[in-house]
Amino acid sequence: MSDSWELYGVQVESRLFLGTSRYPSPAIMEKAIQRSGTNVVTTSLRRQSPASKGGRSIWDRISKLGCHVLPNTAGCHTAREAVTLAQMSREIFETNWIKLEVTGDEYNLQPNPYELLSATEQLLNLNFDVFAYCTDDLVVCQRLNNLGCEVIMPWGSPIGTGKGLINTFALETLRDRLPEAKLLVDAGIGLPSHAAAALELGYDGVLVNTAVATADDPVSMAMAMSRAVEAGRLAYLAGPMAPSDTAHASTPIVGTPFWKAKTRN
Amino acid sequence: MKEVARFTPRYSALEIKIAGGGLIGRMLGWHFVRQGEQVTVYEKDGAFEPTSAAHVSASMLAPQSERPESNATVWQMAMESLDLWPKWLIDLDVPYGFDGSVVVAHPGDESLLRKFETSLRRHKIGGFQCLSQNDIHELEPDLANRFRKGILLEQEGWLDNRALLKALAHNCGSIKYNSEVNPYELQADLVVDCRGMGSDDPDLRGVRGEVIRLHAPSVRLSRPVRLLHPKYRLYVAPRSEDQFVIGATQLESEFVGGVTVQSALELLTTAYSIHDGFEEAEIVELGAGLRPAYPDNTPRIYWRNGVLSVNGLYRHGFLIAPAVVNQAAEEVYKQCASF
Repeated sequence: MSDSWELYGVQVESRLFLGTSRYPSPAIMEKAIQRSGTNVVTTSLRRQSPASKGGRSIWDRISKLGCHVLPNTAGCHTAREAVTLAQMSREIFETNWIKLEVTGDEYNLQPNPYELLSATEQLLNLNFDVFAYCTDDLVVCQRLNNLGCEVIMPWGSPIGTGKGLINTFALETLRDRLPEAKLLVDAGIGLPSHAAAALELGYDGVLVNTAVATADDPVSMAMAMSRAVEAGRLAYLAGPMAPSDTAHASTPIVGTPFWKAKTRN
Repeated sequence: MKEVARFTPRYSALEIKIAGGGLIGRMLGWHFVRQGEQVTVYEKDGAFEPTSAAHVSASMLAPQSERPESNATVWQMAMESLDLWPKWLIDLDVPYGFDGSVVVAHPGDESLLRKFETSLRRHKIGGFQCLSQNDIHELEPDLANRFRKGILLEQEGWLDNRALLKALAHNCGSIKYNSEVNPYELQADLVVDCRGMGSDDPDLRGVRGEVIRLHAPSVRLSRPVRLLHPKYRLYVAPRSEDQFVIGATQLESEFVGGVTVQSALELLTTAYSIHDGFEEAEIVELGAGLRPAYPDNTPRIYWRNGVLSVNGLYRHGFLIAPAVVNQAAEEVYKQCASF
């Protein structure tokens, strides 16, 4: 069954995005990416001296993987920095895609919503296709959506923590209130079950990096994430049953009394 | 057809030319000199302006710490090298310490210590002890005020990289400085390409590392200390005369410029968070270098157009150098014997 979807007019199959940092080696990173079946990989430029093309060697390897490259602005703290880095990224990777990250707090790397909104507006005006990394705040996500940001990526929990979806209420609200937006859970995914849970909520995809790259066996973990994403998506499409407060036997009980009043001893 | 060395068997000393006078070039030269061969090492830099990764390195010998992020081949080489280093360093009269290293995390980050311990156990790495605050006080009294828990990695150590490079320069045959050569144009019985980042091997990439040397007379640390932190994995390696090397950043970049402000802040903050005494330390040097690495971050020893290439030691240069030298020499004498 084809379940392809579109990101700013680009058709992709997989709903798993993979990051390219922190793997034991580029060889393992490449194998993990291939075995995951992902179509989109993110990469960070800021610490690689982009102005002097310092990361050319690893960028070339990433570009040859056959995936769409989604450069990010990780490490930027202001809209100005992020816009400058996005422009360098567009030149290096020849793509309008940019995963916009603007850090507001250094310890939990929480996105700064004010700078994020400002950068989003500027980048959209420069014809970038913005994938905005944000918290799960409804109003921020609505503003992003109103600006014309088609892909919104709220965190499940702070980046690198692996704590999964710590506020499913907020994530469900976003899905409910922004039905047209492409929503991906970015950051905080630590286990395949977290990824499946995001897709079960109706999220369009997830972005995973640390959980795969720092696993003892990144290639196996990438495959596990891929299968979890497929399972979660399939479950969402299948229409999950409604939870109930009372038990319902799944085997027929014809011939037995159908109701018995509770009695007190 | 398998490529072989140019040399032919002979009973007199082999004439060996080595392109590249970094760690591996000098060590191979030293090794071959000890076998009675006639060696010339060609180094592109001057004697007093070295730029090799080995010169910048903190030269930690940390196989246990590196194991979770390396692979079985590197681990085997590291363990083989740990046996060889003490004998070789005594012969070369180079300062070193093999009293283990201490891994610590600040109280708010102690979960990282548990994760590190789990990872050691998963990789079946023995030779470590979990430390209480009292244990830390006994091993490294200066650390006990800041750290409540730690791990002692008993098999780890350090060596003085610059003393080693200097000692090797005096014992690796004839070393010619300011001599950038193309190994494929050299004539000799055997030519070895140890040019590191100077090689044109398309699989090779540079991984940038930055370190800071501090002179800190009020800091007393006898072992390397590695700090686990959610964002940074940095360490402090002791040197003689109250010097310490703080290292090392790891960036997938071939930028050859100086240490950036951000990296300096990371390194210095790490040092200060480990020990107050670094506050008044003198910054002796900021250094940046490129570590040559292959895609699997594992070294390669192979023949190409009759030249033996030895390259790609990544950040494991000092950790695995003796094993790499032995393997390269074995390859050479195996080819000799096949004639």
